[in-house]
Amino acid sequence: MRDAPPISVRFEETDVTALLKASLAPLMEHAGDEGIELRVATAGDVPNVAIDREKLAWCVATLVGNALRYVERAKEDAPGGSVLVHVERAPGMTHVAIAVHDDGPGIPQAKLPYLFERREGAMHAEGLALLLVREIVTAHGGRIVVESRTGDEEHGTSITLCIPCLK
Amino acid sequence: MKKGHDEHTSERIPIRRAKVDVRELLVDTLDVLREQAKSAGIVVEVVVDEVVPREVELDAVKTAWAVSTLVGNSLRYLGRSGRAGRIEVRGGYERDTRTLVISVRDDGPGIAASRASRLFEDAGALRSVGLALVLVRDVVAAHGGTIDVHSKTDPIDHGTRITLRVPAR
Repeated sequence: MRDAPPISVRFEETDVTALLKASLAPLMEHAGDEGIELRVATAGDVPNVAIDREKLAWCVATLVGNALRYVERAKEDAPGGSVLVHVERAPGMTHVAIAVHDDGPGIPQAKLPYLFERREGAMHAEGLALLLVREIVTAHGGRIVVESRTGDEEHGTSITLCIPCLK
Repeated sequence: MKKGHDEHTSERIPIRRAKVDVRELLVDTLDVLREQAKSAGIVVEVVVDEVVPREVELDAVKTAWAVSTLVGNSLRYLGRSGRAGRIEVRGGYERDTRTLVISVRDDGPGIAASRASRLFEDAGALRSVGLALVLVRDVVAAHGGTIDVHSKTDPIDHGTRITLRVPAR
């Protein structure tokens, strides 16, 4: 195996919330058509972070796109599901957390460890994007946290991208 | 601008070249999308020319992602048109320059010339669909390759062909 020149990451100081509100606009339109609520919200003061805008916006759009595939569409007698993109810097934390929460059916526990990993012998369209998401977040010095519940009453998935704050 | 980061930050997204069976890569990668397409009345066909070497050094994951992204886009636009359609993914090889050529062609409505020329550029790309194409461009460029877009919007003769050319080793 031989490594080729890598893909460069171009860091720019960015207001993540504003970036996501703009970049997710087409998906918001799509969600609205399906009767799904898609929102971008913040908590407290969120500092700017240094990111590759295009790549990080793509990561979040990919997670949101996945979430939209799994949440319920609105039916005549029931509202659709919801996807919330929440941006915050928790007190005392050295990173900004960009979390994509959905109220879909959840991901079975057995699958969680492999969500952002390559499984031996796997080669199909599903899951490739999440591998790229992980590499992009790693290139930012960040990490990914996944939580999911598959209960009948309580279900849904939260995927959080933790991006280091500017030093 | 340089950012503050942890010790383990690579600040680069690696390209991991390894010998890949191109036929297997294209067929396997498109299996999932082919099923999705079928339910929308769209046929996805994979054709690999005999001249393509059995194995080529590529980053399999990123190449597979790039091709599936292009096919996914074609599916989206064909799906919106609400009619049956066809997507052909072709693997070819230019012997004189030892270049692997992967093209994704659809018979969708086509892309206006002014947009087609900027499809893989940064400008205005901060919207979800354009973001993926910019990343496709980065993946192909990191392999030392190029992307070519050819599109026709004529009511009778329409469709888009996107061609990835990657130096083969």
